[in-house]
Amino acid sequence: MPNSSTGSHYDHIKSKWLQKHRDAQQQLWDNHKDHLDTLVQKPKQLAAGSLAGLLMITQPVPATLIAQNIATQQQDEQPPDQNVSPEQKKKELVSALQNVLPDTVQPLNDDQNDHIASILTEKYGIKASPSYEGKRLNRTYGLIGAEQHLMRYPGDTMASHFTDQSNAEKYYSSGMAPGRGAWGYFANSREAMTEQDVQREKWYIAVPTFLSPRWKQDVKGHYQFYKYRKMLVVNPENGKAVIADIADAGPAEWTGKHLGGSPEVMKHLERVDGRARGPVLYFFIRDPQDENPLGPIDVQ
Amino acid sequence: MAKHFYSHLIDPEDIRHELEVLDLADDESNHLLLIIESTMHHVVVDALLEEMHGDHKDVFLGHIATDNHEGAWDVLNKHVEKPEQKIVQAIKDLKDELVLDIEKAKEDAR
Repeated sequence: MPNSSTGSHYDHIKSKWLQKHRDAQQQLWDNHKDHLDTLVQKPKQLAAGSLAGLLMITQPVPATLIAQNIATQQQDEQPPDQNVSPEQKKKELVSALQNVLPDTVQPLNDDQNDHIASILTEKYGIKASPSYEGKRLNRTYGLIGAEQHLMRYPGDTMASHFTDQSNAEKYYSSGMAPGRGAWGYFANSREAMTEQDVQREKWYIAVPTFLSPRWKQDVKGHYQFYKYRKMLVVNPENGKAVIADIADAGPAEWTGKHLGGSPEVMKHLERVDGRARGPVLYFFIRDPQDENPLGPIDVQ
Repeated sequence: MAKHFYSHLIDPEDIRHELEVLDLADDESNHLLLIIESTMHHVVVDALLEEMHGDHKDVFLGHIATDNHEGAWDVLNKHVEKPEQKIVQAIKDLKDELVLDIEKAKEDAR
């Protein structure tokens, strides 16, 4: 076994070589991004292929994770996805994301956004994108803070908000925001409220639409575009994710938060520590047929 | 090491031998070898893609991803001049860097 001296050799060289690994990976992606993206777009076709070859070039994972996957492949001829537990898949996702994300929570550059979008698309099986129809928010990586419930219809109160005791106990304490959301009530009355309205309030996020690039050039177009627009919101520290809809505007810049999440969103993402905020990724999803339900989504 | 289309051009004992002087535990040594393997893979694939044009890159990457070594070599032999030399040179350049890192680590420990 190594003594402390060899231990420091190992740590030193490991650190240096992991940086070389990241540099080599970055160079490959910088030089041949379009072709690698093409490969990433068809992971299912390639699922039975070589993990050693595919993972190494298409996923920015640390060598330790590569090692685990190679070992798995060598030990079992079955396609690897069938043998990987949901928790392991989340760990792989977290490792892949951490390899791309900067050390501090800051706006991502185009390359980082594209790389993250590729990872999310592959891992969640839905097309994720930093922009949609030429529109984008001011950032895709930011601190999410806890929001209150929104009034779904005139007269909605905390007393009427929950249909079962379990949810009431979990979420009642979050309270309800005064007034309506940025797009008004979800329904005109309790009787007119649909299940879709309920889900839209339950899984809503508030984003600073007013900080979108080119907002001022086309306020009406942006306002309509963002209403109930679906986004994939991911906690990059644990791989938990939800498909959320934009149902309110905010928070203000002075709060230090970059977006807000409903009590249910925050609970699922486990962004409910003492400060009730933490980093998340939020990317548009392409869902023209409304096929992806709002709510939690797991890594595939 | 996993089997890659260029595995026959590598001596896996080569770097392992270099690492021996650091007297690492087996798991540490194996971990470093895996980092090297993955880095090498990126370097080799990048070096070869640099020599190819558009569609050939997609075909080549598809062959790598499906472990079709024969297909990969078919593309290489048709569209890359002296592919073995390119691979050997890319590996040698990386290995030279790694050996320097190992020597530096030894010196620092003295």
